[in-house]
Amino acid sequence: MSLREPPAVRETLARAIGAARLRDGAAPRDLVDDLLPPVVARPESAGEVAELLGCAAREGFAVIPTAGGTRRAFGNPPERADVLLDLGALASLREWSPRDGVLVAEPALAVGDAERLVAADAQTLAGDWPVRSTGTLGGSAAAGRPPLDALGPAGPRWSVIGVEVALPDGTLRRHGARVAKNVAGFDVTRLHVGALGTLGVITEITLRARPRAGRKSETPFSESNAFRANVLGPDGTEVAAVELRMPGGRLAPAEPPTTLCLDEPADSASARDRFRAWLARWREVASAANGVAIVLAAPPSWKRDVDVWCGEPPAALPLMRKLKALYDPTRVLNPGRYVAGL
Amino acid sequence: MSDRLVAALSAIVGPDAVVADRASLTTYESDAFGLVRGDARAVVLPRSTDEVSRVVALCHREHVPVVPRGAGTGLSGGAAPVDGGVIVETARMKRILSIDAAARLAVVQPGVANAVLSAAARPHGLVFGPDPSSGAVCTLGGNAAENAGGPHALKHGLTTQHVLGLEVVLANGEVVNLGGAVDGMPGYDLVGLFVGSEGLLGVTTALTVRLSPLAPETRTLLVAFPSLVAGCEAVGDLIEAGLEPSALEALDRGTIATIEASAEYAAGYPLDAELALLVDLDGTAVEVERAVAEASRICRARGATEIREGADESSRRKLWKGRKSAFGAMGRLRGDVYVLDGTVPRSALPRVLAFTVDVAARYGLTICNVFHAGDGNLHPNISFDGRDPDMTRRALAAGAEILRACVDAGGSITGEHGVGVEKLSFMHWMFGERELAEMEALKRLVDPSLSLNPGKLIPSTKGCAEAKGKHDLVGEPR
Repeated sequence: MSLREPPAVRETLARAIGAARLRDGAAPRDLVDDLLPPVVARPESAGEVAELLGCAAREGFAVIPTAGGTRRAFGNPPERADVLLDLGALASLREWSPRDGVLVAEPALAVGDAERLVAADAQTLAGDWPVRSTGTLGGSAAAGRPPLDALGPAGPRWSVIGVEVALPDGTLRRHGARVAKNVAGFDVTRLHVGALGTLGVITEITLRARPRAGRKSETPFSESNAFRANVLGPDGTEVAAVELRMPGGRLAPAEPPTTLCLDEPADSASARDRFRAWLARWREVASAANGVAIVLAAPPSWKRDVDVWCGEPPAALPLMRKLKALYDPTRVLNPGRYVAGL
Repeated sequence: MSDRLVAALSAIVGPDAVVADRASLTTYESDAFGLVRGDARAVVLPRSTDEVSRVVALCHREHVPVVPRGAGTGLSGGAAPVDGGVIVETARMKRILSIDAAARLAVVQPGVANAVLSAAARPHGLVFGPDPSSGAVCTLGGNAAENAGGPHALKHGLTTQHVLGLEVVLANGEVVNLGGAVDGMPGYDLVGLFVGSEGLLGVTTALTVRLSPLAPETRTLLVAFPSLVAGCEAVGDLIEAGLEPSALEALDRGTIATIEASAEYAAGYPLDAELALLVDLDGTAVEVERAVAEASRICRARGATEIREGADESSRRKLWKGRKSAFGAMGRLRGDVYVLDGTVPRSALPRVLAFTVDVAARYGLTICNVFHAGDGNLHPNISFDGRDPDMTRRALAAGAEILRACVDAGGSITGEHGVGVEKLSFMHWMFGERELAEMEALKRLVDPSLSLNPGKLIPSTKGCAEAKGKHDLVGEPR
């Protein structure tokens, strides 16, 4: 459902960041849900990311950022997908200062690699980051919550102390500092964490590591109970996963079942209906406990049937719409993929 | 006009909740940063969210600025009514609405004092993490507005790490709920944006906050060092050894001398130390035992001349006494104290601390350092006599030089006190034109008429030329 023909997209982007950075999208590896972006761009600098976004905003190309690709199934299916923005070439470590406990890296550095690095100096990202995951620092920060394979901590919100982001106006912005304790100005860094790349694309990330001593699985910030519910197909493979997050001390109730086992094929209408009803019950349970139920992954047709983020839109949705309009007025970043179709 | 406004405010909150006589309003000219002042037209003390909403809506219609205020303990001028207007003080909204011990959550009104919540949580084995020095009186609404810290921010983080949900009144009087009862609610992190926004985006009328479990055991070490450098290097060594003290505070020779010179505040600190560290280590008994031994070894290796240990509550309190009374003691030096709040990466501590000594000598001022060493948050305290214009000018210029050095070291102009009015002219050291314009755009997005707490935090919205001259405390150093 591209606005432009693929050759036109590729030619236009080539003028912005060079043909050498572009290739045609290929299924299945470049699929975003069931959409195949016709062009994959792999910029090699933050400046090129900004150039690309500026060009996309001018031309109305929908951009889907990706780094490790571990959360490709997360979010509502995008309305459009013209360019898959592969950040994989931006994976270097900029700085690790054990004395300051500060790590600066490009977005595609793997969380596990970063953890190994800081662990060698008796520090850790654990508790704040899903260190056993295969995800990247930038992807984890953008998703703002753990990936499918590492549910547990609340996510990386606490430890991101600075970002550089590329915006659809073609500029780069820097917020935060190389210190954990910093209250100068609005905390814009926090807006980008958990925004799923819908306001800007993180091109550099600064985080604090913590001393390792006494650090167990429980951290000062892990009071909320997160658990995972899922749907299994007739052959036992996982078809969908849901993150349930309740205020601490409340365990998973016996009903509805944490696992829904399907007898029918996942692509049948009845499977989709059963998923929708099961999710709705979970959302009732979660909302009664002041918690949330968020779909982490599901077949695109199932996701189109619900909002993966929430049953009722957040009370502050009007403010969120204004924010989106401020940063991405032409809606080129992950259009439709965020909460309530933002 | 003013009388009509006062009458309209009284109609909403009742005449007993409006302060409008000149004599009483002098109390509200400034906050604890006494160098900027303003004249409010009235102060209102609403009792409910609805009253706040109606007051703010009225001011919006009348184009009158609104200045939110908690206990007025802020140190950057954030609650000073520099453009006049109506102060909304939360003193009568001080109910703890609920404590859910199992979920480790509390819902509170904004006027609840920081220490009051912790005291209420204590029987449940819980505590509110942030513990600013003014905790006995400063309010949780103010803590959220300023993103307050405190000695234990090293391990437990700033206020932003502890606020999950906010009920706020926007500039037009609309009430909005942000966040919720769990971390990671769907949608943009507006709680993260509003916390630390210094009252520019909304007036907080309720907060959902985390409570943290009390550590099973805490021990305190008071360690004396023969030089600033040795003490600062020990701070870095402790963290690099993988220890995570819950607090890691430092006091320099001048601070110790000031404390010990006062009969009221004397705590028996070592007078011959150039720097003393106060280290809280918490955890299980076994963990603490091991951490104390390790920390002592590290400090001795850096040349510590004395280590005192407080293992029980009363001996710990004694060791902390001097630290807690440092600001009070310093006020006695010359009457006025300019408290700086720069943050530097730990590795830069020795260099920047030595720089403050150099600055003090050059400006002919007394600067005492008492600070949160573990997270590199410096509080150089510049003593001056506010009645002496030249000395005041020197104090401000010296402060600017030190904060510039913090930024140049990769740090920040403020670790926990906020920008307020005080640091407006330093913001462009940390942010480019685009980033500052972005903050202004965010402000206008939420408050298009710029009526909430004008003249704070964002240099470009300082407003009219007259106000600009009035608020420009100090230019750039040299």
